[in-house]
Amino acid sequence: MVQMVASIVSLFFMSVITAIFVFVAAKSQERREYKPIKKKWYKARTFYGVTLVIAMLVVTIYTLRELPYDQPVYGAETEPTIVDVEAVQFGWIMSETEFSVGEPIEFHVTSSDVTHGFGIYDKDKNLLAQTQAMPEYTNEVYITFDKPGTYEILCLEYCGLAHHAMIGKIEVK
Amino acid sequence: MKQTISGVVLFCILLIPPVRTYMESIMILHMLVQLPLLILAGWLAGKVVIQKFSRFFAKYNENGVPGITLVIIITMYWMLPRAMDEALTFYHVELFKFLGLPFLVGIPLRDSWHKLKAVGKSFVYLNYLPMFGLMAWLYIDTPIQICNNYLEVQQKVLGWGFLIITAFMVLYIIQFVFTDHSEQES
Amino acid sequence: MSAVISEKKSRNNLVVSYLTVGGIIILAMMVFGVLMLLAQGGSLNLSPAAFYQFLTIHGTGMVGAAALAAAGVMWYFLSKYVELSKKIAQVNLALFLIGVVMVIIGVFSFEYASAWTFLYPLPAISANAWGVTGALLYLFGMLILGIGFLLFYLDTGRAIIKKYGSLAKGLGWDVISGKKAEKDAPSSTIVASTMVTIVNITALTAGAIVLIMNIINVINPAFTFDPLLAKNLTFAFGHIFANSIIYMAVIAVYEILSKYTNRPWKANKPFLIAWTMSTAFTLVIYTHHMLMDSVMPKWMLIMGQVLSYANGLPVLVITAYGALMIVYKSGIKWDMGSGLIFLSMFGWVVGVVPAIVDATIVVNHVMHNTKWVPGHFHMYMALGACAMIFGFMYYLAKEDSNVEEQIFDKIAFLGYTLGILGLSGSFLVSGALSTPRRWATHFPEWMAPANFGAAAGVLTALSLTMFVVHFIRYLSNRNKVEMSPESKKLA
Repeated sequence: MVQMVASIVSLFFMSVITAIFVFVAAKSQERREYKPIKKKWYKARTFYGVTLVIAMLVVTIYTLRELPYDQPVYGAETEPTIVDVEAVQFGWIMSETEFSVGEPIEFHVTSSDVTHGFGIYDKDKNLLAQTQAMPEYTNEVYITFDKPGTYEILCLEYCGLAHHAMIGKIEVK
Repeated sequence: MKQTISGVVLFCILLIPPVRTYMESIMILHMLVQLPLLILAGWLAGKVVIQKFSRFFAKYNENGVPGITLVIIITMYWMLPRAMDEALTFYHVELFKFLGLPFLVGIPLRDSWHKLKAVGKSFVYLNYLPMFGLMAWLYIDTPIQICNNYLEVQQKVLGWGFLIITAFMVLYIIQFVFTDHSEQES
Repeated sequence: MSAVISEKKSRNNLVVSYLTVGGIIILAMMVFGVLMLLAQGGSLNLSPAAFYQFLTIHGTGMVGAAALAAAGVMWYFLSKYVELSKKIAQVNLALFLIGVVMVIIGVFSFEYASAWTFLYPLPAISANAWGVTGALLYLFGMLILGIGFLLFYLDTGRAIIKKYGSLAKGLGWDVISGKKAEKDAPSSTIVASTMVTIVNITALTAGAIVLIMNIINVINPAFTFDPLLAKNLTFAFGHIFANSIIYMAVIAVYEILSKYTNRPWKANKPFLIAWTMSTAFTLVIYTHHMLMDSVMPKWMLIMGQVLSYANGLPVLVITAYGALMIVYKSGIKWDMGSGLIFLSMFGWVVGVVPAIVDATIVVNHVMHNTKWVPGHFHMYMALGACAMIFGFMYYLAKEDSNVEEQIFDKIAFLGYTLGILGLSGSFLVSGALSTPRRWATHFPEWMAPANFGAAAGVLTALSLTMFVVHFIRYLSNRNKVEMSPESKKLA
């Protein structure tokens, strides 16, 4: 979902940029005096610059409203399930691997040797959430699965020769 | 001449047993006061030595690089935690400290520094900067007692001492490069 | 007169050596890149050990070689304004070569494979994949390489301070504050060089700390360090140093485009402000590499996003816009030099887009360490920074010899553009599919883009070979010119 939005946004802006460069290249063979061009396009630049800054501000505020670092607000009766995760070369040691749909879960992720990356993948191999597994530190991931199935934990930080084989499994019923 | 005398006096003061024992009993005084003072003593006394043996220095330390290399090697040795430990345990290491720092660091430093070009000076400076930063990190962060003769708390204090030095070195360099050094104006 | 010419020749010689070494290494590294993609696509059977060694050498080599070549570009133009030491530039090249040899021996003979990020404590804790020797060869090699570059930037800094008074004046702060008129502003070359000098001395200092720290840890694992601080320093070093490549190479854009179009590209106030912004932002935005470390102070991570956005502004509003303006209706004569330079501005801007998108924390949450990231920097580095460098190569060949561009060169131009677009595009698609980066093997559903990327990589490598062939033709042509009796008299 987020990946989709990110790709479309990127593709859109990259196409616009391509179009602009192609346009300028196509117009490059005409020869006009520089002064009037400069005058005109400097004016346009002010407008363009201001628009860009405003657009960035809007996007910044919009995207910073909810951050993955913020612990979700749980209802009065719900207690999150806390799962201790320890990464080792080359596997995942998890205090619990079976969950149910709708259960709020907090993964407390650390490592006992080098830095690893804790990435939660659904069965279609889409990345849902991640954090770094660091020695001496504990990073947290908050997630509530809304579909049953087998999910996989893949290592997302290069950690040695069996990095790609460092796969864990969790079941959601 | 005055400088030489003050250098010799400083050296003698540092040699006085109670002064020596006191400075070596506290890690930060040992590393960041006694050692630099020994170098300073050599620097001060060096004026006469360099004049007297000017031919020797001109021959073997023509561009300042051999001298400064010696300085860097010996000072790096004295940044090792083990070196300070051994200075307290073995008398020959202590002897090396009292002779090596003034004669093999202080004097060549004085001779080399003015011979070095600007790039050389800044290179030396920028070598000590990360080294001191690293020492700060090492001494503050290490969870174990590195030296037999000093407690972990003292280690941490020394680390903060290094950090302060590093911070000042950074500030100095920033003010240096951002203030005006042009020759033609005013 | 003859002294001037021979002096110019020998200065050019130095720049040519930088570019030759850089160009050859970049080409060789491309081969490793293609092999890795083939392995990921399942078309080539590569052991994980070999794959990760390739990964390590590819990253280290590409960044190092591009930095060296870009430093050559910077040196070429900067030496027209200030007095640089040729000796120091030679020492840098020598130390670079020594460092490279050590890194190669460490990686291939001692199987060292920590990736070029050598994230502490991986060099020491390798699960018995490599030993102390390999790690030390690599780390000391990098340190030696860094010392060379440090000397290089100390010299540029010294020269700028000598001529202009201070680095503040090199950035044109006296013009920004209104003390000096815009027409007396330092040239764009000076401004860019000052910026790079500042950020890279900082980066190399951070790098030295983290390298020596790793060395201590490798020699004696009893000394441990804070891994989070180590990570901060590693990315402060790696991000800034890699980023500086484009800021060195862009000097070629300023100088060459204004020459080709016969239009001035003067530093005015907005230009100077933009470069000061770039200086500040480049130093601090490395935290966008750490958005997935929730233990970091939250304000630092938010600043990571905000400043990464802001860091797009100088190029989007000033440099790229300026390049478009200077080319627009200029009657520019397109050849390989001007073509690649114009392409490079496109590559830079288009490569910035996925980076800004990924610097958004919520996006980073599902795209960090996927192949989206190499998608960004392959576009940004290969189509941006490297196109500047290769454009400069063609420019230099034209300036300095009478070797002519052929139809092959034009085909190579097209091949290079399409190759990089295909390669980066395949990475971006992989990233959108959540494919992790730095994986020796892929699941079947991730293989197709990798194979496509490998094919695009082959096209890129072939095209680059044509560029290099042209450069070699220039070198031999140039030597012939030198050997003719007339120029002997001159020398």
